[in-house]
Amino acid sequence: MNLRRDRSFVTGAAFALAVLALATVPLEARAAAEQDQTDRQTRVVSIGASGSLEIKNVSGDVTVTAGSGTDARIEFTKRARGKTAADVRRGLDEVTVDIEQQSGRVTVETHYPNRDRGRNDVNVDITFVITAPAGTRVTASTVSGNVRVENIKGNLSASTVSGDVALVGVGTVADAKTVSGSVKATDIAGNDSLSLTSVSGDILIDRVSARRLDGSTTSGNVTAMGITSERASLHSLSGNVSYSGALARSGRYELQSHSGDVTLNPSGTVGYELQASTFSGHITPGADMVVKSISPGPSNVRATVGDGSATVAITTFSGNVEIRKR
Amino acid sequence: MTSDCTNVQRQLSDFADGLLDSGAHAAVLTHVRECADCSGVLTDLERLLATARQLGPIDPPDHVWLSVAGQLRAQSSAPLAVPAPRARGPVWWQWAALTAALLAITVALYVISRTRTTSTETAANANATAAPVTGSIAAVNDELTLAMQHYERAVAELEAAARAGDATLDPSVATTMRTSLTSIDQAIAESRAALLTNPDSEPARDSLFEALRRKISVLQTTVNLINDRRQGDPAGASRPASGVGRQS
Repeated sequence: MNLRRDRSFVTGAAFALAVLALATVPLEARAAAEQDQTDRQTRVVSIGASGSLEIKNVSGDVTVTAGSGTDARIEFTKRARGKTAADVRRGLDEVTVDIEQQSGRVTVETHYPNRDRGRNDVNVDITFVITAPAGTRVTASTVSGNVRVENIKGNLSASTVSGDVALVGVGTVADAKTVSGSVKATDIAGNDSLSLTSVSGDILIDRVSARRLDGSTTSGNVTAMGITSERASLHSLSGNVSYSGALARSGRYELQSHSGDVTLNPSGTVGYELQASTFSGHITPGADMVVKSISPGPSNVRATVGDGSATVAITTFSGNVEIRKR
Repeated sequence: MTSDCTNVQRQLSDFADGLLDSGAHAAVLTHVRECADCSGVLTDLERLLATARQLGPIDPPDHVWLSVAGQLRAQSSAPLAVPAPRARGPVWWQWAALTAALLAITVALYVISRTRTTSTETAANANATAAPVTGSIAAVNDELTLAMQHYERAVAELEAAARAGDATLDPSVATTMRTSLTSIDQAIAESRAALLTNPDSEPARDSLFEALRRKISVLQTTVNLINDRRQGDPAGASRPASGVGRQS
């Protein structure tokens, strides 16, 4: 009798726990777990050593890396999730990838069906992994997903709306931008003009050489390290801005934030004229600078370091300014 | 700002449109590479032109044609043929908003450039002669106010365009844009409040104009995204949140 009572108790407790567990699983997770299929395909197209490759994706990541030879290898994986196997299958069939090739120019574009004519009960994203000759000119974009480009030396443009952009070891970057996500540029040399922008996300620039460098975000930090540039303009509205790197003779460096801190950490032997101002923050001058004037606060500092051949202009409204010794 | 800047800025529109001959093009290019002010003006101009180009062919509404025809008729006794009514473009208001914004920003930038020159000259005069400069300072303030008004007009035009198409955007993107605009508005409010108590504060003034410039940039991006979504609609392409799309 006791045994039966114990069993009832255990069964009841298990049932209650199961109900509780089900109730705590998010609806989306349960829906997502219903059906999930993938379809992977690969195409190899001749593009030449310095051809042009344009990728237009909608939902999913795009990765382009440098390879050898004169072919581009395009691998894409469609992933569909929906309520039924039929929905998922239909999603995989309806979402297509068009690859067009014409005399050294390859266009890869994702097409979704007109949802007005169909039901919205399946989600499909497509992930691209592409290998192309290093000299290829690349334009890569997606709406929702990350874009990553590695070691491509041809002209490059990379953009997404929701996602991160990462550029590693690439050559000439026309622009790299996202609306919601971070932008990272690493190990880039020889750029004439490099522009990195985000609306909401961090900008990280590491070991980059560019004659002109622009980094801008509204809410996020702008961090530039190991930079060689003649003209740098780094802006954030609510994040911190920092520049570490060599200054060029006659170079100009503008660092600005509204509510974030600004840090300058110059290296090399080139001196600079500093104009730093903050409305309600504090300015910490570097130990090696000759301060010409400090206005009350101090909210405005003008100083010279070394030969004063470069110009550094720093403005923050409510953040602090720190100038480190070379 | 130098006299070179004045000359170059007069040519920037033609430069951006590729209408200059090779010599003038090279001269402007050389100057822009060295001059942050002119480079900034060119960047803004190119952004707006790029945005306008992305809008595609948009016909003005019928009443615009009729209005223009009426005005011309009033100015000239010669008979005027009224163009046949055209099909109304679905997003003509974007064109109007961007054109108005372009004009307002151009004027604002011009005024700011003039203001900077005047400030420099005022300071130089003050140092040289110690003469009263009250009138000049008032003029500078007037011009700053004027610049503000032009910026605000541009912002209002773009805000209207963005608001009208906001529902087109993916909800998460719309939230990002709204959050960013809220932060920018806060920065504008803080800067304005600071300028009320410290009218001469450089960081407050720089922050204000930077925030206004950023607001225009974010609004431009918003309008671009709305336009992209609309252009992508026939294929049902850009709908990651509602239908076929990405799950995280």
